[in-house]
Amino acid sequence: MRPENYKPVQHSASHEYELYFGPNHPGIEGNYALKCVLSGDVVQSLRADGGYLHRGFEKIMEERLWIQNVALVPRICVPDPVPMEETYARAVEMLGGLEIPKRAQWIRALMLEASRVCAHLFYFGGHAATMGMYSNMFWGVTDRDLILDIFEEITGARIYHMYITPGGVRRDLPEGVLDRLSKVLDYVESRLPEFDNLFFDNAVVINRATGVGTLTTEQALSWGVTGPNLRACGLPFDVRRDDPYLIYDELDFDIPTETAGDAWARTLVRREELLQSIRILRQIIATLPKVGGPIRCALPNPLAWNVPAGSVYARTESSKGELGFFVVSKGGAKPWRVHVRGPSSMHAVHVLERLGPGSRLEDVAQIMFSLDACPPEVDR
Amino acid sequence: MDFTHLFVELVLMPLIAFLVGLVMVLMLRKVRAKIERRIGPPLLQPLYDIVKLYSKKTQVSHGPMHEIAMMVALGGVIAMEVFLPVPGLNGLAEKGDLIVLIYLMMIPSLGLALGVGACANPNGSIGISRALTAMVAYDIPLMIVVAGVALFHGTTSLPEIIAAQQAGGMSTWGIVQTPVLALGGLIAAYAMLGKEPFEIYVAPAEIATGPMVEMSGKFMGTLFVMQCFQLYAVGVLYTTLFLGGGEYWISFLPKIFAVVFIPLAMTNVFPRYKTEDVLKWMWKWAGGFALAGLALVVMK
Repeated sequence: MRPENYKPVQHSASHEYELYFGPNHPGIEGNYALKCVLSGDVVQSLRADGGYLHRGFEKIMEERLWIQNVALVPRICVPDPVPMEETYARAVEMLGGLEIPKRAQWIRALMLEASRVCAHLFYFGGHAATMGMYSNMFWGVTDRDLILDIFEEITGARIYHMYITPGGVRRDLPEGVLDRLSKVLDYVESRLPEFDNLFFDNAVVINRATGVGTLTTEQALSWGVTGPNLRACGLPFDVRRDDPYLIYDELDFDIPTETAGDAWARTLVRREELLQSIRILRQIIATLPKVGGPIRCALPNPLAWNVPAGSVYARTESSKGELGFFVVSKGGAKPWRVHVRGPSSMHAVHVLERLGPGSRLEDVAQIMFSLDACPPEVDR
Repeated sequence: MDFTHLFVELVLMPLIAFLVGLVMVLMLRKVRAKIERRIGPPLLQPLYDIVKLYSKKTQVSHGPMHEIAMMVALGGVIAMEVFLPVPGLNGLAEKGDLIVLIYLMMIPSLGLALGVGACANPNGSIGISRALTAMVAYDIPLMIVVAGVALFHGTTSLPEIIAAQQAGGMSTWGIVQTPVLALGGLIAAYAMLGKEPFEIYVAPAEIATGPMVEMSGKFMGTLFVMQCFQLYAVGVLYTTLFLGGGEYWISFLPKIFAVVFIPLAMTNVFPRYKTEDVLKWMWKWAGGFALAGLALVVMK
């Protein structure tokens, strides 16, 4: 609309006003919007408004061959794409009755945990940026880049790897990459005291994040909260431990929890999880050289692969919560139905809409980022 | 002083303020980049930014008030510069005193409030209400500090305050004679710069940069120029009140850069406070130091 044609809408006198958070707003994650009604500084109601990044992945996947969808799934969630590849591949393997070689399982676990480290480093920066602390954001992104270098070396791509395929992984690890990953992990670990000084021990940060967007365990369970957000309420549920996949039952790691259920607790849980992921990665680095064998099981011709009929639900613990793929096959060359159960659908819509009312305007962005909501995954 | 001489000073003083302010903006961005582990902008980037913004076509104007108010705000900061004495240039400092300067310092915020109010954007309105709240937060301690300095020197004339401080070398500087007052003043100066943790009225993640949200092209360029003037004014005012002003540019420039550098070096490790926390913090600490400093001055 041209400015001269603009006629402002006349509202009746009210102490309430509408404020749009997004879709073009520094306080919003990705292409997403929140429609807030405020009175003064207090949010009266909040409505999530998605659809700006709708690409119709679930429908597109019904029109493509099983193997072609490997290129689509990582694009569902930009900051943490590896769990998407893993979950889809495992769902197809479950339908096809494929046995994954042991080495491929270890490599997949390595990719998943490295992706979790990346996502959590990103998260620290995002959460700090909502409070106006951009140093943390740049630090997190810079350190994350070192892991992206490793991804690039292994898969040829930094973000959308398309590396995990039904039956295993696309190619074996390059020589010496485990040593290089080990050095990166040493470096990331050595950086944590600096992150502590800047962010985790910062009195202003603690003051601003404590008591913001608090979830009780009952609310979390009834609203479908999973992952670190659920563990921040005190419930130690983790798919890796409670419904193990790949080689997670052979690994030694803890499930960190907090009890407060607020934005600060969610951040603290992720800080501990970062350390646990590094611990897991070190175990994988020590074990992987001893695990030989193929990296992919024998597959039928992927261009004429009729996956047996059936329906399965595969789930993975992503950095944001439980990620599930419900896949139905009618025995054809393409999936009949693929449904993605992304954790952000719950966190960015149902939970956010309920946590918003009553909170302060300055905390809206912080609540959203502390839930680690990923809008591309909501829209998918 | 003849008119020609005064006219030259009135042109020179804002010009110097603008050029020094540009270097301060560069310092601000370089320091931030260093702490954030980035390289930062090239030397002339602040100038490029202003040229770029002023060369853009104005896409949206919100009526005459929007445009006039921005001129008022810019005029306010430029007028401020000619009342701030610098080495070799007194401008109008002998005609107007600290009280006039304090009045002038409020004009940019009020001009912005008028201009942003004409935009009818809730983000801008919230930003302006926050900016005025922040002004209340730092202006009260600043007034007490200014009153303390005026009482101590027995005058509100800036050239006289400078002369009194320069009489006995560093030992007669305000920061040595009235250190508590100087501390209160430094905190108030930090808040005046509007950087974290006092950056409540820009707050990108909360109100989408507040007053700047409807400012595009030339309006944004005006805000950029205002930032240059503001950084310079804060540095010069504090130097004038507590660091003995400046006899020569060679000794004056390091002082004003040091005053601005201290907050800029600290700001990057803070998130922003909530609005009410800024008020509480400023009144408690800056106000507390200012009052204690004033009490010490009165007792002397």
